[in-house]
Amino acid sequence: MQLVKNDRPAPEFRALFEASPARQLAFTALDLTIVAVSDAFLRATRLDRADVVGRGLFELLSTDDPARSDRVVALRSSIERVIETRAPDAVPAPAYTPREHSVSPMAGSETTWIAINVPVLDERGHVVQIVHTLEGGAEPQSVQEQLERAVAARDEALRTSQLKTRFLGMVSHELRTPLTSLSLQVERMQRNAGDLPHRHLESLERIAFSAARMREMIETLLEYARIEGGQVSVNLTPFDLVDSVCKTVAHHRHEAEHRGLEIRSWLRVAPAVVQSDQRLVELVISNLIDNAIKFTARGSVEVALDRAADGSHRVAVTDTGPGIAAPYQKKIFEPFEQLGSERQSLAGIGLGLALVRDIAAALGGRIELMSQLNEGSTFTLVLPAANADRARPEQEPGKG
Amino acid sequence: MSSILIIDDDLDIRREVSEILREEGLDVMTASNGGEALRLLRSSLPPSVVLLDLMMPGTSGWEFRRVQLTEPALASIPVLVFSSFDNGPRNMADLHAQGFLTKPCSIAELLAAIEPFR
Repeated sequence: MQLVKNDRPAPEFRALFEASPARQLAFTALDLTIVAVSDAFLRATRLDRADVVGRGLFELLSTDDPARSDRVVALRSSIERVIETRAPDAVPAPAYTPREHSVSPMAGSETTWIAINVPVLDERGHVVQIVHTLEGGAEPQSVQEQLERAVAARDEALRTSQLKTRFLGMVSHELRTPLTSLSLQVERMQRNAGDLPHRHLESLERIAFSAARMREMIETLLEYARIEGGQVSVNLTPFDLVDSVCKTVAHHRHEAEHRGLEIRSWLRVAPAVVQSDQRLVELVISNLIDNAIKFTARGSVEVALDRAADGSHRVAVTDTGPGIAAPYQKKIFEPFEQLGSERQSLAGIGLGLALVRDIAAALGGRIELMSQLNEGSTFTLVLPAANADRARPEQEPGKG
Repeated sequence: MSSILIIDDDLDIRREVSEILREEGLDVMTASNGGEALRLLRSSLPPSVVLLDLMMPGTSGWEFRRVQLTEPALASIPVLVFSSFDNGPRNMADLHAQGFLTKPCSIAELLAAIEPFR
């Protein structure tokens, strides 16, 4: 069976060639004139058949780009080898450019392709044509297609993130309603406790404590949803970090002591007035203390306030807990990440550190972690000296 | 005696807040949505203050307030927004309400919020 007659493919073979799923074209060995091209080749290179058939192969190739012109030289050598040796040869594919384009419309994706040149021999064993096939690489896309796909992927990710944020927000709001009646009922019972037996008073206290913890977790979820949704507003005012440390330590004292932990604050600088968002700063310190208490079985939690040489303020929360091995020190700042089965059994929802990191960033600061396995951890909130300049400008407050 | 109308779709909240305020000597009425509250207000003596939840099935708190302000007999009854939404100040402004209280709250916060209207 003969593929070609007189250098021109017979119509039925041309139709077969054009319909081939391979990205290929055929050109004459004599003068490299292209005689047939597959639809797949045209799709891949974004060329028109009229631009290709009847032209010389090298008219299709761009030499403007030096990196690509090397490939054109390599292709020429390859074709010479094929004609000489009558054996197939492969080279990195060059860039194919239609007449009116100075730059290949293929957007660089063809650089991963290989061009395979296979000789077509006549009855006498002479190479009459060469079939030139592109292999490998992904189906290339135009710049526009790549852009559209990237935009679609980004929109999808954004939509998922917004759904997640909205879901968190909705759930938190819904949880606030039963929590309201629960807290009010417990508080009223405590007010009217009168001569309740001691064990019932203790139960009431524990219920109240659990309700307060639940409230904090819901607030953390909501805060996280707001920050993730870009809805947090930073309200900068001057305030004393000494107050914030004392307040948050006092707030957690009961829980710490309830767990048999010593909790203390160490003020190495006072006063320590900063320009920041007091509510968010206290939320960060509170979450760090809460975390330290949760993961420390025995020993102490210490909150130290200090000012560094560069004028930044540092609130360091040190625990005598299990410590965090180096490979996990980044991971624990990811949402819903907690370490080990022991930690998963604890009440936290794993959002605290993710929230703390994001809030610190929103305040122009950062969280530093120093920890060694079995030697406890120190999480430090660093608020830079020029805090007001670096804080994110106030954003539109969210519709709750 | 001061009186209050609690509009909230959550039965537990209606019960609990009612109990607390009755213990404080207030006369308490309740409604589970805005429509029920409007019918109640049209057929009874105006309360000293309305405690208004926002997200309710049927007539919402926003719709209740809109209608209330169009009825001369009801328009002057002060309203405290009582919602789990954070943006209390904005809701208060949007609704031309006299105050707001965010859920959850303590008994002290509840009493402090209604104190000016007693």
